[in-house]
Amino acid sequence: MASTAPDRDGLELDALRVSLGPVLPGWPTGLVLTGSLQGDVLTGVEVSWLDQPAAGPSQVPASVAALDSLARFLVVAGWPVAARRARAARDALMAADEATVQRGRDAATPLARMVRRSRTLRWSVRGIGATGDGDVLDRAYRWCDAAAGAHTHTSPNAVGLHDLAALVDGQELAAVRLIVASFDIEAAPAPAHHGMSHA
Amino acid sequence: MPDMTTPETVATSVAAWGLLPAVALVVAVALALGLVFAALDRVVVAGGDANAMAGPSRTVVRWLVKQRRTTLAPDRLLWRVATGAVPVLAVLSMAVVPIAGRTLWSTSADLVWFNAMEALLWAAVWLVGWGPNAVHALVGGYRFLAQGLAYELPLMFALITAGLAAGSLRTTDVVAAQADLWFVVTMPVAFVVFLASAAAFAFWGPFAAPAGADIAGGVVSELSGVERLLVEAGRAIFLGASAAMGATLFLGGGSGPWLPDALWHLLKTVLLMGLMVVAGRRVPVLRPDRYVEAAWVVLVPVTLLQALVVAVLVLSGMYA
Amino acid sequence: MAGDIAVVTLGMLAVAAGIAVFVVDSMARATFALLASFLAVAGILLALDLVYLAVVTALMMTMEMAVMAIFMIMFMMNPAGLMPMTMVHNARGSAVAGASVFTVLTVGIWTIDWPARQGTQPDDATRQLGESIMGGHMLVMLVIGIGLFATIIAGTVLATQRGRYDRFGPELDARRPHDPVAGGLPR
Repeated sequence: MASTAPDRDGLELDALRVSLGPVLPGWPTGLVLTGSLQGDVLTGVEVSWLDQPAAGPSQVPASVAALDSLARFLVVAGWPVAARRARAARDALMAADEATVQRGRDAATPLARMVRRSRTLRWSVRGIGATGDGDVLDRAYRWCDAAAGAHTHTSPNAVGLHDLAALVDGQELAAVRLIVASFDIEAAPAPAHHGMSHA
Repeated sequence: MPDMTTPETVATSVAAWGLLPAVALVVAVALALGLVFAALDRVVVAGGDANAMAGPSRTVVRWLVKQRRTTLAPDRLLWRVATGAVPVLAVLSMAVVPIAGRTLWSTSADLVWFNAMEALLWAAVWLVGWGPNAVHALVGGYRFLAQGLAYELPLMFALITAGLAAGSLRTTDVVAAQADLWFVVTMPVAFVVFLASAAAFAFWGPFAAPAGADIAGGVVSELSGVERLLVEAGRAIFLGASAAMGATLFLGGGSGPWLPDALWHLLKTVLLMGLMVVAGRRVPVLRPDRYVEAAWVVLVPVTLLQALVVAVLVLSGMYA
Repeated sequence: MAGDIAVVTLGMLAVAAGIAVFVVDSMARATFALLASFLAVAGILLALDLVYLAVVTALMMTMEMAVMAIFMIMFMMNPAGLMPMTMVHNARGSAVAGASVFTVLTVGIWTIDWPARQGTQPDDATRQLGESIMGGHMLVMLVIGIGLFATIIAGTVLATQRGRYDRFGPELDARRPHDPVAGGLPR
């Protein structure tokens, strides 16, 4: 049940314990985020995996993984048309025959261009979740590059659970969702030393 | 002021065809417009795949047969009232839109009636978010409240601008006043603001944040079965009604050569719906943090300026 | 006759919904009971053929109730009224005040010798209303309107915790304001 606590704007607001996940649209399946919600500001955030997903090298090509993540981000950013195109390109890239795969590559490049060029998206999400190497938009752009074929071996936007929790603490619900969707969250639990070295 | 003689009273559809047939016609047209809007929307989201046109009908059947689920300790009374009110209010807003040249009922305050239905819709949608006692729905409800507050004034000014030029708040008078020149020519800002505000009040397209994926569907997240159908139908009907109202207020209603008036009005309405869907689905959702400020600081003065320009044109005898 | 029945029914509905405001134990229910009462009043105006007044009453009261809902979230996060609470402070005093005003008005309405209507009912009551309010009293209405608006702005300015020095720094020279959540315009 709700009880009050001082909030960001100096009001006494009711605080509500909530948990996000493990299943939500555009949410990394199995991730559970708990915190206390005041208005729509989340504080005291803790993040964990419900089931420990298998760690280790990813089975899919980097461009497919990037399209997956990009589609998730676009769903959360509220762009269903672009998200559908990303998923379609991803499915084509995973096909067996070469012609479909080529079609997927041909679809991924204009999609990446469209996302990069969208002024509305830039206006809407710029400045949210800024870390040392950019905000949510920069991370989405990195996926765009990876999806369009820039070769990367590892995910460009990996983050550990502990760093993620620190980043979303004190953010509004919508910003929390965008920040979570802008990372590939590492399967392994956060190591004992809480560095940003792997972020 | 243009000389406002008592308008030759156009008989309402109730007077012309009787109460039941007139109401049935309005409800049928409202449902049809809603279905057309939903189908167009689905096609555009599916990337132009014409097969998607049947999607809304299939969804309707699925929601009709689906079992309802509920939440822990909801405010059942208010929740039920609100889900029922959404489609009713959307249909009621059609009561002042002329169908075949006649409105269901005609008063000296048609435009205010349309606006009042919107305001009631606003309160009802907030209640839909409040009722289920769930975080995502509540956040969606409050997003909608902030959004509606930011768009209520621009929408009001856009409606009033059309009424100002016609010298009457009666929709049939507004249509008659456009015999020489469609209002969209002299009030393009009001036209665009009207359509954008309609989308904002139906929380659709770029204004879908109250039902956004980032809050798992927001106000509609806890609705299931028939209740989900009622609210979604209400949104689609309101968008269709707004397109019909937009065609009435700014595109001359049923005026046009060769074809019968009703057909012209329908054509313009469908065209407007297509325009809204194509334009609205091109862009991602505008986050409320950002656009609410733009709505207050930019849209309100711009619509006021538009009203001022039209007022000067009225005084110069442009619409007489 | 049908009009009389409508007025009486809606009147009783308005009173019943008004009483409900004092009875229910959730803010949302109290808010919407009040709205129901206002809507019933709008219905009465509609039955009296005062369409513009009716529709404007419905419009303004709905917006007011919705704005009230916004203020609710400023002070509490209490979905669906789980925690019972009342909207009314000094319930007894306000009930007495409400009942006595109701009595005075009702007695007045029934005992005053109302003048008979002279002439016929106008075709367009909205227009008549506009002319009677705005015709001779335009200056007064404008002054009142601007005065109310200035009051709203002054109240907001006084209530705002953060001023321009918080946003733009002590020298007011920051290029972009420092806000907890950035708005959509570069100002």
